[in-house]
This record gives sequence, structure tokens and C-alpha cells, in this order.
Amino acid sequence: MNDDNITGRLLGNLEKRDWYLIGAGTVLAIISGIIGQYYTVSMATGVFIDQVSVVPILIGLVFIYLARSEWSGDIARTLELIGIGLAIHMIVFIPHLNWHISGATLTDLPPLMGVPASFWYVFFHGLTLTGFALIGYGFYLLTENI
Amino acid sequence: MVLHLKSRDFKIILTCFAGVLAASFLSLYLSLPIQVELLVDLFVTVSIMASLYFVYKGATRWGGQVARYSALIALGLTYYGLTLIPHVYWHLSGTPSFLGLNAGAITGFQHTATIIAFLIPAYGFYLFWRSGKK
Repeated sequence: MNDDNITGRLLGNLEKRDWYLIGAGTVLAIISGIIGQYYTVSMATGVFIDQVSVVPILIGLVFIYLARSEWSGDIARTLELIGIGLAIHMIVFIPHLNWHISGATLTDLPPLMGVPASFWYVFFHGLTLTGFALIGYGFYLLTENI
Repeated sequence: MVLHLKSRDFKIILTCFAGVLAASFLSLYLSLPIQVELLVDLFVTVSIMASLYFVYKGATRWGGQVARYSALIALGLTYYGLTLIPHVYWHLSGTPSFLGLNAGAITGFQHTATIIAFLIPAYGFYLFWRSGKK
């Protein structure tokens, strides 16, 4: 089951092409930062870029759906848990973000659908926590001894 | 669609949802302020750090390729997890400039980086798909 050259280190198994992709992504973010430094960018643009981040999550979910039937039960189960976790984060993200910028102040937000803000402060972040906790649980299952 | 999830997983998911609802109603009853969000975010960061640890521990059990894909997924999420609280705090502080970088630069970098932070895991899931072993 174990390939040759496996290491217990986290980054030791990454290949060159993975680093090229990570490097390219970093360069893109830096370019974005440089543009933001010298050109006036409206807050709406910043918000828009943020909302675009649900697209890669959705792409990831499609690949998880395709991948899960290609793997044995344990890994498929982990992939499904990660997928559910990411899906929860993705679904919550845009309504949550829009609510945050809808208030006149940054620190005291209006009710949403008639329900006062205190409910939503915990609800939205709590669901995000659920999402990432389920992802952690999925990775945890990969460490369990049979 | 056949799921590989076990009944214990479903119970965990439902318990999480019930817990979030209960905590939300408690917050409503106590009229908690926005700072409670940062407290919950702390646990989000801890969850993501735990994922990283589990990927590190699981690597030797599953072998190089699964370890590689898992590391890609965990790394992307880790960037998001590590920058989440500082970035939100920066927004709440009125987006001050930092080391000569103005709000546009920081926003441009971080929001683009968030997109990348989720694209890298998508790449990891893609690799899982293409290399599927039954």
C-alpha cells in the first residue's frame, strides 16, 4: 500500500509541479496587491473578488464527487466529509459576507430576516466552524489505525 | 448516489448543526456583540491546524501520493485559516495601511490569495480523481 520515498513530513511529498502552481498563485496575489496599491479599487471590487472564491470551492466539490467513486471506502469517506465541510462553508459565505457589509457600522450589524444580529454572529461563524471541523474529522479518519 | 459515510458521521454532522443552532439562540438571548465572531473564528483556526496535523500523521500510513494530495488540500486551507482572523481584524480596524501598503494593496492580495487558497485544494481533489485506486 505504501509507495517508495514516502515521508512523514508534511511538505516532503509535494512534487515540483505542485510548487510551481503554488508559486504561480502567490505571484497572482502579489500582482493583485500591486494593482490595488497604485490604482483606486472600490470596496465593491474587493467584495466581488471575495465572492469569486466560492467558484474554486465549487470546482473542488465537482472533483470530489468524481473522485469518491474511484477510491476505496476509507478515502472515499474522507473525501465526502471534506466535501460536505467545504460545501457548508461555500453556502454560508456569500450571505454572510453580504450581511457584514450591509450595516451602517462595521461592528454593530442590523437584523437579518427580522432576527437580531446576535443570533447571526454565532450562526454564520458556527456553521463555518462546523465546515472546517468536518474537514478536520475527515483528515483525522485517515490517521486511524484499522 | 451511494455515500461512504457511516451512521456515526451523520450523527456528528447533525450534532454540529444542532449545536450551532443552540449556541445561536443562546447568543440571541444574551445579546452577544460582534466580538463573539472572533471567538468562534479562533476555533476555526484551531480546526484547520488540526487538519494539518492529521495530514502529517496520516502520510506514512497511506503513502506518497495520497499524502501529497492531502498536503495540497491542507496547505490551501491552512493559508486561509492562518490569515482569516488577522484579516477580519484588519477590516474591523478600518483597513489601515501597513508597512507602506494601502488598503487596496492588502485587499487585492488577500482576496486573490483566498481564491488561490481554495484552488490548490481543488487541484488536490482533481489529482485524487485522476489517480483513483479502488
